[in-house]
Amino acid sequence: MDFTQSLRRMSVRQIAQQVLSFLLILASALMIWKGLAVVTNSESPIVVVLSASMEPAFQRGDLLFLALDNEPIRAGDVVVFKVNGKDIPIVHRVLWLHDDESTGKQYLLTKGDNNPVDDRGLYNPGQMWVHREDIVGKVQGFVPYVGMVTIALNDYPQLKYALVGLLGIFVLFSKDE
Amino acid sequence: MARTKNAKQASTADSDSNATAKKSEAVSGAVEVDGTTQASSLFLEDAAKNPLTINHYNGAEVKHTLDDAVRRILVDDYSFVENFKHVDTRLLLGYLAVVCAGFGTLYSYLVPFPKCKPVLAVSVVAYFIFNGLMMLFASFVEKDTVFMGVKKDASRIDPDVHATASSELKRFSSDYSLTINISKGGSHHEKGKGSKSAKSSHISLKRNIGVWFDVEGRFAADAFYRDFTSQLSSDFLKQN
Repeated sequence: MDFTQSLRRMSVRQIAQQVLSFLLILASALMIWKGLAVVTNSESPIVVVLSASMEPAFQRGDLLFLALDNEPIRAGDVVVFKVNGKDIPIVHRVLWLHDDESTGKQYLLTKGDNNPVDDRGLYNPGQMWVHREDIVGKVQGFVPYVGMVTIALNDYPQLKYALVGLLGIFVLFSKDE
Repeated sequence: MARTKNAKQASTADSDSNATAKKSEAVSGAVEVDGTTQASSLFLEDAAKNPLTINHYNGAEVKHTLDDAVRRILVDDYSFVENFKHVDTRLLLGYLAVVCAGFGTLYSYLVPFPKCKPVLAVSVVAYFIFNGLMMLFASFVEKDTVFMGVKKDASRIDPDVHATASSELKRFSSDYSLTINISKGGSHHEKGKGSKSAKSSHISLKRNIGVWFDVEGRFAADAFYRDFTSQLSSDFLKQN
Protein backbone atom coordinates (compact mmCIF):
# COMPACT_ATOMS: atom_id res chain seq x y z
CA MET A 1 0.00 0.00 0.00
CA ASP A 2 1.71 3.21 -1.05
CA PHE A 3 1.72 6.40 0.93
CA THR A 4 -1.03 8.33 -0.88
CA GLN A 5 -3.38 5.34 -0.88
CA SER A 6 -2.90 4.74 2.81
CA LEU A 7 -3.41 8.42 3.56
CA ARG A 8 -6.80 8.45 1.85
CA ARG A 9 -7.98 5.45 3.79
CA MET A 10 -7.07 6.90 7.18
CA SER A 11 -9.56 8.60 9.43
CA VAL A 12 -8.79 11.95 11.05
CA ARG A 13 -7.78 10.23 14.28
CA GLN A 14 -5.47 7.83 12.52
CA ILE A 15 -3.73 10.70 10.72
CA ALA A 16 -3.50 12.53 14.05
CA GLN A 17 -1.87 9.45 15.55
CA GLN A 18 0.74 9.27 12.76
CA VAL A 19 1.52 12.98 13.08
CA LEU A 20 1.78 12.55 16.85
CA SER A 21 4.28 9.69 16.48
CA PHE A 22 6.49 11.88 14.32
CA LEU A 23 6.21 14.88 16.66
CA LEU A 24 7.01 12.71 19.68
CA ILE A 25 10.28 11.65 18.08
CA LEU A 26 11.23 15.29 17.51
CA ALA A 27 10.05 16.31 20.97
CA SER A 28 11.97 13.51 22.68
CA ALA A 29 15.21 14.50 20.98
CA LEU A 30 14.70 18.18 21.86
CA MET A 31 13.72 17.50 25.45
CA ILE A 32 16.69 15.23 26.04
CA TRP A 33 18.98 17.97 24.73
CA LYS A 34 17.31 20.73 26.75
CA GLY A 35 17.12 18.49 29.81
CA LEU A 36 20.84 17.92 29.54
CA ALA A 37 21.34 21.68 29.27
CA VAL A 38 19.33 22.26 32.46
CA VAL A 39 21.16 19.54 34.39
CA THR A 40 24.64 20.67 33.36
CA ASN A 41 23.72 24.34 33.73
CA SER A 42 25.28 24.96 30.35
CA GLU A 43 23.45 26.36 27.30
CA SER A 44 25.06 23.94 24.87
CA PRO A 45 26.24 20.92 26.82
CA ILE A 46 27.94 19.15 23.88
CA VAL A 47 30.16 21.02 21.41
CA VAL A 48 32.56 20.12 18.60
CA VAL A 49 36.11 21.42 18.40
CA LEU A 50 36.42 23.31 15.09
CA SER A 51 39.99 24.63 15.16
CA ALA A 52 43.44 23.37 16.03
CA SER A 53 44.04 26.08 18.64
CA MET A 54 44.00 23.66 21.58
CA GLU A 55 46.33 21.01 20.22
CA PRO A 56 47.72 18.68 21.47
CA ALA A 57 44.99 18.49 24.13
CA PHE A 58 42.00 18.73 21.75
CA GLN A 59 42.01 18.01 18.04
CA ARG A 60 39.62 19.23 15.38
CA GLY A 61 36.57 16.96 15.44
CA ASP A 62 36.64 16.11 19.15
CA LEU A 63 33.34 16.15 21.03
CA LEU A 64 33.43 18.08 24.32
CA PHE A 65 31.09 17.65 27.30
CA LEU A 66 30.44 20.85 29.24
CA ALA A 67 29.01 21.74 32.61
CA LEU A 68 29.01 24.85 34.71
CA ASP A 69 28.94 24.54 38.48
CA ASN A 70 28.72 27.32 41.04
CA GLU A 71 32.40 27.17 41.93
CA PRO A 72 34.58 30.10 40.82
CA ILE A 73 36.53 29.56 37.62
CA ARG A 74 40.24 28.80 38.15
CA ALA A 75 43.34 29.45 36.05
CA GLY A 76 44.06 26.38 34.00
CA ASP A 77 40.37 25.47 33.46
CA VAL A 78 39.50 24.80 29.85
CA VAL A 79 36.32 26.73 29.13
CA VAL A 80 34.02 27.35 26.21
CA PHE A 81 32.98 30.99 25.92
CA LYS A 82 31.28 33.30 23.51
CA VAL A 83 32.47 36.81 22.75
CA ASN A 84 29.56 39.21 23.20
CA GLY A 85 27.95 39.80 19.81
CA LYS A 86 29.67 36.91 18.03
CA ASP A 87 27.90 33.55 18.00
CA ILE A 88 30.77 31.12 17.46
CA PRO A 89 31.83 29.63 20.79
CA ILE A 90 35.56 29.34 21.45
CA VAL A 91 37.23 26.64 23.52
CA HIS A 92 40.45 27.86 25.17
CA ARG A 93 42.21 27.72 28.53
CA VAL A 94 41.95 30.39 31.25
CA LEU A 95 45.39 31.94 31.55
CA TRP A 96 45.01 34.59 34.25
CA LEU A 97 42.12 35.84 36.27
CA HIS A 98 41.30 38.55 38.76
CA ASP A 99 38.52 38.24 41.32
CA ASP A 100 36.91 41.40 42.54
CA GLU A 101 36.94 40.83 46.30
CA SER A 102 33.80 42.83 47.06
CA THR A 103 31.51 41.76 44.22
CA GLY A 104 33.07 38.39 43.42
CA LYS A 105 33.05 39.30 39.73
CA GLN A 106 35.68 37.39 37.80
CA TYR A 107 37.87 38.91 35.08
CA LEU A 108 39.25 36.19 32.87
CA LEU A 109 41.93 36.13 30.18
CA THR A 110 41.95 33.14 27.87
CA LYS A 111 44.46 31.69 25.39
CA GLY A 112 44.49 28.69 23.09
CA ASP A 113 47.29 26.26 24.02
CA ASN A 114 48.44 26.16 20.43
CA ASN A 115 48.19 29.92 19.80
CA PRO A 116 51.21 32.20 20.09
CA VAL A 117 49.23 35.04 21.72
CA ASP A 118 46.35 35.43 24.16
CA ASP A 119 42.76 35.98 23.03
CA ARG A 120 42.60 39.77 23.37
CA GLY A 121 42.76 39.88 19.58
CA LEU A 122 39.58 37.83 19.46
CA TYR A 123 37.64 39.90 21.97
CA ASN A 124 35.63 42.98 20.97
CA PRO A 125 37.59 46.20 20.38
CA GLY A 126 38.50 47.68 23.77
CA GLN A 127 37.53 44.49 25.63
CA MET A 128 40.34 43.11 27.82
CA TRP A 129 38.56 40.41 29.78
CA VAL A 130 35.72 37.95 29.59
CA HIS A 131 33.37 37.31 32.46
CA ARG A 132 31.35 34.46 33.87
CA GLU A 133 28.26 35.50 31.83
CA ASP A 134 30.22 34.83 28.64
CA ILE A 135 31.20 31.32 29.70
CA VAL A 136 29.08 28.54 28.19
CA GLY A 137 30.68 25.85 30.36
CA LYS A 138 33.83 24.18 31.65
CA VAL A 139 35.08 21.15 29.76
CA GLN A 140 34.41 18.03 31.84
CA GLY A 141 35.40 15.36 29.34
CA PHE A 142 35.73 14.59 25.67
CA VAL A 143 35.31 11.92 23.01
CA PRO A 144 37.77 12.04 20.08
CA TYR A 145 36.86 12.00 16.35
CA VAL A 146 33.05 11.72 16.77
CA GLY A 147 32.52 15.39 15.96
CA MET A 148 33.93 14.94 12.44
CA VAL A 149 30.40 14.16 11.23
CA THR A 150 29.18 17.61 12.31
CA ILE A 151 32.17 19.26 10.64
CA ALA A 152 31.47 17.40 7.39
CA LEU A 153 27.80 18.43 7.50
CA ASN A 154 28.80 22.06 8.03
CA ASP A 155 31.41 22.16 5.31
CA TYR A 156 29.20 20.42 2.78
CA PRO A 157 25.62 21.63 3.33
CA GLN A 158 24.33 19.36 0.55
CA LEU A 159 25.06 16.44 2.89
CA LYS A 160 22.69 17.91 5.46
CA TYR A 161 19.80 18.18 2.98
CA ALA A 162 20.51 14.71 1.57
CA LEU A 163 20.47 13.20 5.07
CA VAL A 164 17.20 14.89 6.11
CA GLY A 165 15.64 13.97 2.75
CA LEU A 166 16.61 10.31 3.15
CA LEU A 167 15.24 10.19 6.70
CA GLY A 168 11.96 11.74 5.55
CA ILE A 169 11.50 9.23 2.73
CA PHE A 170 12.30 6.37 5.08
CA VAL A 171 9.71 7.48 7.65
CA LEU A 172 6.99 8.05 5.03
CA PHE A 173 7.32 4.67 3.41
CA SER A 174 7.62 2.43 6.41
CA LYS A 175 4.94 2.03 9.04
CA ASP A 176 6.01 2.12 12.67
CA GLU A 177 5.30 -0.82 14.98
CA MET B 1 -22.39 -26.49 -13.98
CA ALA B 2 -22.73 -22.79 -13.17
CA ARG B 3 -25.40 -23.45 -10.53
CA THR B 4 -23.25 -25.96 -8.66
CA LYS B 5 -20.44 -23.43 -8.60
CA ASN B 6 -22.69 -20.76 -7.13
CA ALA B 7 -24.03 -23.06 -4.44
CA LYS B 8 -20.50 -23.99 -3.34
CA GLN B 9 -19.35 -20.36 -3.07
CA ALA B 10 -20.40 -19.71 0.49
CA SER B 11 -18.38 -22.53 1.99
CA THR B 12 -15.14 -22.65 0.02
CA ALA B 13 -12.07 -20.51 0.26
CA ASP B 14 -10.62 -18.62 -2.71
CA SER B 15 -9.98 -20.76 -5.75
CA ASP B 16 -9.54 -19.93 -9.40
CA SER B 17 -12.77 -21.54 -10.58
CA ASN B 18 -14.83 -19.36 -8.27
CA ALA B 19 -12.99 -16.16 -9.10
CA THR B 20 -15.37 -14.68 -11.65
CA ALA B 21 -18.50 -15.57 -9.71
CA LYS B 22 -17.02 -14.00 -6.60
CA LYS B 23 -16.07 -10.79 -8.41
CA SER B 24 -19.60 -10.09 -9.53
CA GLU B 25 -20.91 -10.79 -6.05
CA ALA B 26 -18.35 -8.49 -4.54
CA VAL B 27 -19.13 -5.69 -6.99
CA SER B 28 -22.83 -5.73 -6.17
CA GLY B 29 -22.03 -5.93 -2.47
CA ALA B 30 -24.49 -8.79 -2.19
CA VAL B 31 -23.62 -11.32 0.45
CA GLU B 32 -24.48 -14.94 0.18
CA VAL B 33 -24.88 -16.60 3.55
CA ASP B 34 -26.38 -20.07 3.97
CA GLY B 35 -27.27 -20.15 0.29
CA THR B 36 -29.55 -17.07 0.40
CA THR B 37 -28.51 -13.59 -0.66
CA GLN B 38 -28.80 -11.02 2.09
CA ALA B 39 -28.70 -7.24 2.23
CA SER B 40 -25.67 -5.65 0.58
CA SER B 41 -22.55 -4.94 2.56
CA LEU B 42 -21.06 -1.44 2.51
CA PHE B 43 -17.74 -2.92 3.49
CA LEU B 44 -17.68 -5.26 0.50
CA GLU B 45 -18.83 -2.52 -1.86
CA ASP B 46 -15.99 -0.31 -0.70
CA ALA B 47 -13.53 -3.18 -0.89
CA ALA B 48 -14.60 -3.91 -4.47
CA LYS B 49 -14.15 -0.27 -5.48
CA ASN B 50 -10.81 0.11 -3.68
CA PRO B 51 -9.00 -3.21 -3.74
CA LEU B 52 -6.16 -3.25 -1.27
CA THR B 53 -2.65 -4.50 -1.85
CA ILE B 54 -0.22 -4.24 1.02
CA ASN B 55 3.22 -5.43 1.99
CA HIS B 56 2.15 -8.68 3.59
CA TYR B 57 5.61 -9.14 5.16
CA ASN B 58 5.06 -6.06 7.30
CA GLY B 59 3.23 -7.34 10.39
CA ALA B 60 2.18 -3.88 11.47
CA GLU B 61 0.56 -3.18 8.11
CA VAL B 62 -1.22 -6.55 8.06
CA LYS B 63 -2.61 -6.08 11.57
CA HIS B 64 -3.64 -2.54 10.72
CA THR B 65 -5.50 -3.72 7.60
CA LEU B 66 -7.32 -6.48 9.46
CA ASP B 67 -8.19 -4.32 12.48
CA ASP B 68 -9.46 -1.66 10.11
CA ALA B 69 -11.62 -4.25 8.33
CA VAL B 70 -13.12 -5.31 11.66
CA ARG B 71 -13.88 -1.71 12.48
CA ARG B 72 -15.43 -0.97 9.11
CA ILE B 73 -17.62 -4.08 9.15
CA LEU B 74 -18.90 -3.36 12.64
CA VAL B 75 -19.60 0.30 11.90
CA ASP B 76 -20.78 0.19 8.28
CA ASP B 77 -22.62 -3.14 8.22
CA TYR B 78 -23.64 -3.77 11.82
CA SER B 79 -24.49 -0.16 12.75
CA PHE B 80 -22.14 0.12 15.68
CA VAL B 81 -21.22 3.58 16.86
CA GLU B 82 -17.54 3.72 17.72
CA ASN B 83 -16.53 4.87 21.18
CA PHE B 84 -13.41 6.98 20.85
CA LYS B 85 -12.77 7.65 24.55
CA HIS B 86 -9.54 5.64 24.79
CA VAL B 87 -8.19 6.85 21.47
CA ASP B 88 -8.94 10.46 22.32
CA THR B 89 -7.35 10.19 25.77
CA ARG B 90 -4.17 8.77 24.30
CA LEU B 91 -4.06 11.46 21.61
CA LEU B 92 -4.72 14.18 24.19
CA LEU B 93 -1.91 13.03 26.48
CA GLY B 94 0.46 12.77 23.54
CA TYR B 95 -0.34 16.21 22.16
CA LEU B 96 -0.10 17.75 25.64
CA ALA B 97 3.40 16.33 25.88
CA VAL B 98 4.29 17.78 22.48
CA VAL B 99 2.86 21.19 23.45
CA CYS B 100 4.97 21.22 26.64
CA ALA B 101 8.07 20.39 24.62
CA GLY B 102 7.27 23.01 22.01
CA PHE B 103 6.61 25.68 24.61
CA GLY B 104 9.83 24.92 26.48
CA THR B 105 11.87 25.02 23.29
CA LEU B 106 10.29 28.27 22.13
CA TYR B 107 10.78 29.89 25.53
CA SER B 108 14.44 28.92 25.68
CA TYR B 109 14.86 30.37 22.19
CA LEU B 110 13.34 33.71 23.14
CA VAL B 111 14.80 34.08 26.63
CA PRO B 112 18.60 33.61 26.87
CA PHE B 113 20.00 30.76 28.84
CA PRO B 114 20.43 31.30 32.53
CA LYS B 115 17.11 33.16 32.84
CA CYS B 116 15.06 30.57 30.95
CA LYS B 117 16.25 27.65 33.10
CA PRO B 118 13.32 27.42 35.57
CA VAL B 119 10.62 27.48 32.88
CA LEU B 120 12.62 25.14 30.68
CA ALA B 121 13.15 22.68 33.54
CA VAL B 122 9.40 22.62 34.24
CA SER B 123 8.55 22.04 30.58
CA VAL B 124 11.09 19.21 30.24
CA VAL B 125 9.69 17.47 33.33
CA ALA B 126 6.10 18.04 32.16
CA TYR B 127 6.96 16.57 28.77
CA PHE B 128 8.34 13.37 30.28
CA ILE B 129 5.39 13.09 32.67
CA PHE B 130 2.78 13.39 29.91
CA ASN B 131 4.73 11.10 27.62
CA GLY B 132 5.03 8.55 30.42
CA LEU B 133 1.32 8.80 31.23
CA MET B 134 0.47 8.28 27.57
CA MET B 135 2.64 5.17 27.36
CA LEU B 136 1.24 3.77 30.62
CA PHE B 137 -2.28 4.43 29.36
CA ALA B 138 -1.59 2.65 26.09
CA SER B 139 0.01 -0.33 27.84
CA PHE B 140 -2.34 -0.85 30.77
CA VAL B 141 -5.68 0.66 29.85
CA GLU B 142 -5.89 0.25 26.08
CA LYS B 143 -3.74 -2.90 25.87
CA ASP B 144 -4.59 -4.65 22.60
CA THR B 145 -8.05 -3.12 22.12
CA VAL B 146 -8.71 -2.12 18.54
CA PHE B 147 -12.37 -1.16 18.67
CA MET B 148 -14.99 -0.20 21.24
CA GLY B 149 -18.54 0.50 20.23
CA VAL B 150 -22.25 0.46 21.03
CA LYS B 151 -25.16 -0.65 18.92
CA LYS B 152 -28.40 0.97 19.91
CA ASP B 153 -31.58 -0.70 18.91
CA ALA B 154 -33.50 1.57 16.50
CA SER B 155 -36.85 0.82 18.08
CA ARG B 156 -35.35 1.23 21.59
CA ILE B 157 -36.94 -2.01 22.69
CA ASP B 158 -33.88 -4.24 22.98
CA PRO B 159 -31.07 -3.15 25.29
CA ASP B 160 -27.84 -1.74 23.88
CA VAL B 161 -25.15 -4.08 22.64
CA HIS B 162 -21.57 -3.20 23.64
CA ALA B 163 -18.65 -4.66 21.75
CA THR B 164 -14.94 -4.50 22.50
CA ALA B 165 -12.60 -5.96 19.93
CA SER B 166 -8.99 -6.77 20.67
CA SER B 167 -6.50 -8.39 18.35
CA GLU B 168 -3.03 -9.79 18.35
CA LEU B 169 -0.50 -10.50 15.62
CA LYS B 170 2.79 -11.43 17.22
CA ARG B 171 6.00 -10.04 15.83
CA PHE B 172 7.34 -12.76 13.53
CA SER B 173 4.18 -14.82 13.43
CA SER B 174 1.45 -14.94 10.81
CA ASP B 175 -1.35 -15.99 13.14
CA TYR B 176 -3.95 -13.32 13.66
CA SER B 177 -6.10 -13.68 16.71
CA LEU B 178 -9.22 -11.56 17.15
CA THR B 179 -11.39 -11.53 20.26
CA ILE B 180 -14.64 -9.64 20.61
CA ASN B 181 -16.37 -9.27 23.94
CA ILE B 182 -20.03 -8.57 23.43
CA SER B 183 -22.39 -7.67 26.21
CA LYS B 184 -26.03 -6.94 25.92
CA GLY B 185 -27.80 -4.65 28.35
CA GLY B 186 -26.18 -2.52 31.03
CA SER B 187 -22.59 -1.48 30.66
CA HIS B 188 -20.05 -4.09 29.73
CA HIS B 189 -17.74 -2.59 32.33
CA GLU B 190 -19.76 -4.33 35.04
CA LYS B 191 -17.88 -7.31 36.34
CA GLY B 192 -19.06 -10.28 38.35
CA LYS B 193 -22.32 -9.39 39.98
CA GLY B 194 -23.91 -7.45 37.19
CA SER B 195 -27.56 -6.81 36.60
CA LYS B 196 -29.50 -9.95 35.86
CA SER B 197 -30.47 -8.72 32.43
CA ALA B 198 -26.83 -8.23 31.32
CA LYS B 199 -25.63 -11.00 29.06
CA SER B 200 -22.15 -11.29 27.69
CA SER B 201 -20.59 -13.43 25.07
CA HIS B 202 -17.25 -13.96 23.54
CA ILE B 203 -16.31 -14.25 19.89
CA SER B 204 -12.95 -15.42 18.74
CA LEU B 205 -11.35 -15.73 15.33
CA LYS B 206 -7.88 -17.24 14.97
CA ARG B 207 -6.46 -17.74 11.51
CA ASN B 208 -3.23 -17.66 9.64
CA ILE B 209 -3.21 -14.45 7.62
CA GLY B 210 -2.45 -16.51 4.54
CA VAL B 211 -6.19 -17.19 4.19
CA TRP B 212 -6.85 -13.49 3.65
CA PHE B 213 -3.81 -12.28 1.72
CA ASP B 214 -2.36 -13.76 -1.42
CA VAL B 215 1.34 -13.91 -2.34
CA GLU B 216 1.14 -10.48 -4.00
CA GLY B 217 -0.28 -8.96 -0.81
CA ARG B 218 -3.80 -8.50 -2.17
CA PHE B 219 -6.40 -8.45 0.56
CA ALA B 220 -9.31 -10.82 0.02
CA ALA B 221 -11.97 -8.69 1.68
CA ASP B 222 -14.77 -11.11 0.88
CA ALA B 223 -12.94 -14.04 2.49
CA PHE B 224 -12.31 -12.01 5.61
CA TYR B 225 -15.90 -10.80 5.64
CA ARG B 226 -17.18 -14.35 5.46
CA ASP B 227 -14.87 -15.66 8.17
CA PHE B 228 -15.63 -12.75 10.47
CA THR B 229 -19.39 -12.54 10.06
CA SER B 230 -19.85 -16.29 10.34
CA GLN B 231 -18.58 -15.94 13.93
CA LEU B 232 -21.09 -13.25 14.81
CA SER B 233 -24.07 -15.06 16.25
CA SER B 234 -27.45 -13.83 15.07
CA ASP B 235 -28.63 -13.92 18.68
CA PHE B 236 -26.83 -10.69 19.48
CA LEU B 237 -26.45 -8.99 16.20
CA LYS B 238 -28.68 -8.30 13.29
CA GLN B 239 -26.97 -7.01 10.22
CA ASN B 240 -28.19 -3.45 9.56
